[in-house]
Amino acid sequence: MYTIPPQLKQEINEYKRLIDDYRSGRVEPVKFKSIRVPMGIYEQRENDTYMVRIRCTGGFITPFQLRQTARIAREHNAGYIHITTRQELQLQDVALENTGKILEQLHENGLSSRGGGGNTVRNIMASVDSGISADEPFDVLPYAVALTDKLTAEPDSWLLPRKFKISFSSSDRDNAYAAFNDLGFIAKIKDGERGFKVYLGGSLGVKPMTGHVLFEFLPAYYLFYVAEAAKKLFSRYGNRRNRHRARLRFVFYKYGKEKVIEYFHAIYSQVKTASGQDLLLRDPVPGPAPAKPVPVLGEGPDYELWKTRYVKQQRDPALYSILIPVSKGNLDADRCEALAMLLENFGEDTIRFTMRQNIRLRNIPAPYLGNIHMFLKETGFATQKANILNSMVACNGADTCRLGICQSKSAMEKILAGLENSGLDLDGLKDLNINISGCPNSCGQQSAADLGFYGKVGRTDRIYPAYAIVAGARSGDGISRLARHVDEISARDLPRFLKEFLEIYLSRKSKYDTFSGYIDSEGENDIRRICDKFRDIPGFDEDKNYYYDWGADNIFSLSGRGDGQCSAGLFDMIDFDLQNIKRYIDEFNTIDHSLPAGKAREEINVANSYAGSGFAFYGRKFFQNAGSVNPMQANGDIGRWSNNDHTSGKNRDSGESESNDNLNSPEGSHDRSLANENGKNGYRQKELPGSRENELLYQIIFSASRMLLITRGFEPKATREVFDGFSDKFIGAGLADEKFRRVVTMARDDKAADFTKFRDSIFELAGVVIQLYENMDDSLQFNIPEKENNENSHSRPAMKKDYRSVACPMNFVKTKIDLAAMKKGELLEILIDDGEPVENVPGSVRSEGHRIISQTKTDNYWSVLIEKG
Amino acid sequence: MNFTENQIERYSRHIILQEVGPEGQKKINNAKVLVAGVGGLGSPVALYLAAAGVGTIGLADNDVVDMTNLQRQVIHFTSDLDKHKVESAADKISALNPDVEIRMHKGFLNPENIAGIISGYDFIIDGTDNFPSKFLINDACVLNGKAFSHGGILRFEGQTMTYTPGNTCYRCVFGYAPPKNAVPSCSQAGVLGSIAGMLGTIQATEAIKYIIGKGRLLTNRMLTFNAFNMNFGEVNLSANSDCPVCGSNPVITKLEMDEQPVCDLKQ
Repeated sequence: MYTIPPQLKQEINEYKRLIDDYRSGRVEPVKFKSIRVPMGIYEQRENDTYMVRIRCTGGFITPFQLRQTARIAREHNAGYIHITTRQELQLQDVALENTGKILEQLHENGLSSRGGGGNTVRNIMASVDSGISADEPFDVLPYAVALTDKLTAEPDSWLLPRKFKISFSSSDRDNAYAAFNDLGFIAKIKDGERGFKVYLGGSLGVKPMTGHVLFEFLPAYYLFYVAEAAKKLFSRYGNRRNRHRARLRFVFYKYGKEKVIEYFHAIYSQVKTASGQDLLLRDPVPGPAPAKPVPVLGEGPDYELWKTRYVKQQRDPALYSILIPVSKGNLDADRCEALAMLLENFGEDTIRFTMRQNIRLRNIPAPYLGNIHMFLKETGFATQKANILNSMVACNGADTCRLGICQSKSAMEKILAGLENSGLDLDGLKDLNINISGCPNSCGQQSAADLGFYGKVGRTDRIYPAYAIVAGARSGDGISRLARHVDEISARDLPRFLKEFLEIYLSRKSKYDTFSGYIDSEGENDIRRICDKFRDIPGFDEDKNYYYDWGADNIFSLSGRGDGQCSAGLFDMIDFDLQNIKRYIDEFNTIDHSLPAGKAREEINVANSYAGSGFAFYGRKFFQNAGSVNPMQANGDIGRWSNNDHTSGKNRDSGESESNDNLNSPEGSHDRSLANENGKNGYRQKELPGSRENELLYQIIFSASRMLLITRGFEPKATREVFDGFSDKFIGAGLADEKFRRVVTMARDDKAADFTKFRDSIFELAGVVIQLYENMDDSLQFNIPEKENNENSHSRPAMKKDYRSVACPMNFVKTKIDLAAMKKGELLEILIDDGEPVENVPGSVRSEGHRIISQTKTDNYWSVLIEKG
Repeated sequence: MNFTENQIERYSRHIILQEVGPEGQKKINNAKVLVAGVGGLGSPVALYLAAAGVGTIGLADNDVVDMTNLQRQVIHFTSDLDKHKVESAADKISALNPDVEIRMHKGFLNPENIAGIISGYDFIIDGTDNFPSKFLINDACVLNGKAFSHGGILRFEGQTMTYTPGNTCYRCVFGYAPPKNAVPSCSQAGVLGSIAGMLGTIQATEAIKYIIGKGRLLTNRMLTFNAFNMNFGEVNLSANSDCPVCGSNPVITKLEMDEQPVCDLKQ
């Protein structure tokens, strides 16, 4: 389908040589990894087993290619052929020595793994129903393929700051998540012309973002230029030093939307003036019409149920599209081969891999539905189960992934087993998308799901496996939104939680058009209420089960996960204090709620009282975020939250990673011991609001003082050093105002001093520090922004124009332009010079059907009043 | 009306024309025209459309500039020899008018790509040198409801007509491509270079009239001239109900290339 770039053959040969060099110790592991991963070959969690990721643009593969892939998998003892959520295939559990040969064999069959991993242009996705759905403007797959051809032929596509994801949706439903990819396209037709709405910077992952609209309508001709420019933009501005902050969305976070769009257009106009780059569109090869098998008549209740659940009529009513559920996305080679051989009967364009890790067949003529059904049944595909039991997505999780926290696959199995026997109306949950990731990364795409879970570390006196719950994502042109964090649950209670939740949802479902509508209205509360029931985690001695993950033989632990990344650790440390400041400020206001009404109102408006100062802006931002980012606080459940604060705060904000080094030190790390000393004690004590308020203010000074010290290369070893460090490195260096010295010194000298009198100053200090952080560049320098003056005094254009000293005929030309913008009957006054202008212009204006109302001379010029005709 | 000072000056002679005016000039600035074939006809068309400020000009060709082109293809210079015609033309257009957005389509127009390409344009100029392409452009425009200008030149003679949806199309007049070598081509019969300019500028004029929606187009009539005697003539045409593509029972419903060799110029 896509064109294999000519240089790939040579790259595979080099890679094969490199395996030998690596094995014999001539090449360092890190060097080898840097070549191996962009080739689409990952090491699995079990040491020295590997997987090969195969590009399938838009999930397309021909039946013949699928058959060959199955044979390759069998030859090399691949455990599974796995379907990914980016519509690719993965050959799993293969030996490193075999990967070279696998690449060669794939190459012979027109398949490539290049860019399957690493900092590259990843597999380009497309709507799984593109080309067959009734509501699409046009089929986007040829564009996705043509773009793949172009981008995979360019060496710089493999040298990006981080991965770069592109997706095409064929309709406004945006079922390929254009708004959640680095670069996303939604098919549009404008004035008969094909084109795309273009989104830039979207991403799931740890700090997810919905893409910004780059073009409302981009003529299809410019597709390649835009992709090229976006890639170059990313390459130029992406953060190459910290992979946790490297994705394109961080460029937006850093520079702001307007700047990034401006940078984009500068690059885009350069790219456009380069030589012509038409995308050569090729339709999926129809090939010779194959000989069809003898039709098998489908009948019986099994068949009918299967048809209602899994079979859809296409735009062409003679053809059908069939969803084949693939449990956990895993196919064994034999079934895969048999399926491929069956499909060869129906032509080249019959297979798409879905983003939910299933297979969607297409172009199956009606008489052969029976054949497909019989085949699926005989080969053991789960055709008799309700969709929900087959549509749930889980990333590989800690079973095989070195980054995983929880074993998401095993959790899903447990959930599914429970649901199957739950007696719930599972067909009523047909369209519900549930996604589970083993860690905060987005491999399980939980942020785009109706209901999503991601693995995290829970804590009592020791750590236990847990899941954060996110809900309510929507996709669709203009309405796309990410799932929001609602609550969390232990891994142990996850299946029970989900069953209870689905039961409640089913009872309320009829009231809502969409699941996200339900979440917005009642669902979020339902989730929290159920979570409340499971909030108490038994101690290790009471029930050890809570401390074992699903599918795990050993007690939950994070040892041996991922590799360390120093720079990321630095940001994690900063984020830790940032989160603390947010919490303290938030709690400050929570306390105020408990006060008498008048007092409370005054306190809540603290942030607003700084209107005009930098802090007011950030302050408001905090309060807005507080509800969604950290809802437990909104419940006032502070004591518990503080037990979890290290890991949870860090997980949320460590930046996307495929090696979450911060998880190596779940204890919150030794660096943070000061927080324990200063922070937690305060939380544990039930104190009077007044003294709690004072305590919080102290904590704000402490965290604000410490937050950025690390960027100056200063790591305080004692509490006192935090305050002295700040006075020295920030106030002394002019980064913070001299006026803050007073509160900082006060905090240093007496933790119990009365800080309430300096509340304003303390809040301002927090704002200043955060503002410094937001304006910090990659080399850890602070760019202090100048105050922007946005006072544009737009004077409304008057209908009076001065064309004195404008020569003929330009004075007339300009007059015509003015008149063109006016309505009939409106008046325009022009000033023109004496002589030729006044001899010509009024006459010319009149000859075009306008009326000259007056013509008066002042000194050496004329005022002419014109009424538009 | 948002014109920059430069634009006001550049287009002032259009704006002064009552029939064009600021409104018409805006339409020109927003228009998208495809020049299919950047040769004898395409050269003057592209230059005049660029000068007029047509907002987007598409250039489609698959040839490089060779020495025999320079006698009539005035957008290409001696220094452009061996350069892709599309790039050579794009350079001149941007030098002439940087306002113009250029789309380069390097390659042959074929039944697979033509519908996608023309979908992006308001008007198409046929500046091709062979019958299969001319019929393909006609069919694609008829089936996709696009207006185009047909042009042809040979020796001292030229002919041109304009198609807009619902009116006489090229096939209404000519049916199918003539058999191989039944008609002499430019290379066999020769062509006076300047008549490419005469005809191309008429095509450019038709395009601009179509864009501004003013004047009388060469629809349902064909303009012919013999520059040797300098006679101009006009043939009235009417839509043919038996036309294979736009008639009441069309047989052409899907784009295909008429079987006919291109101009045997190089043989």
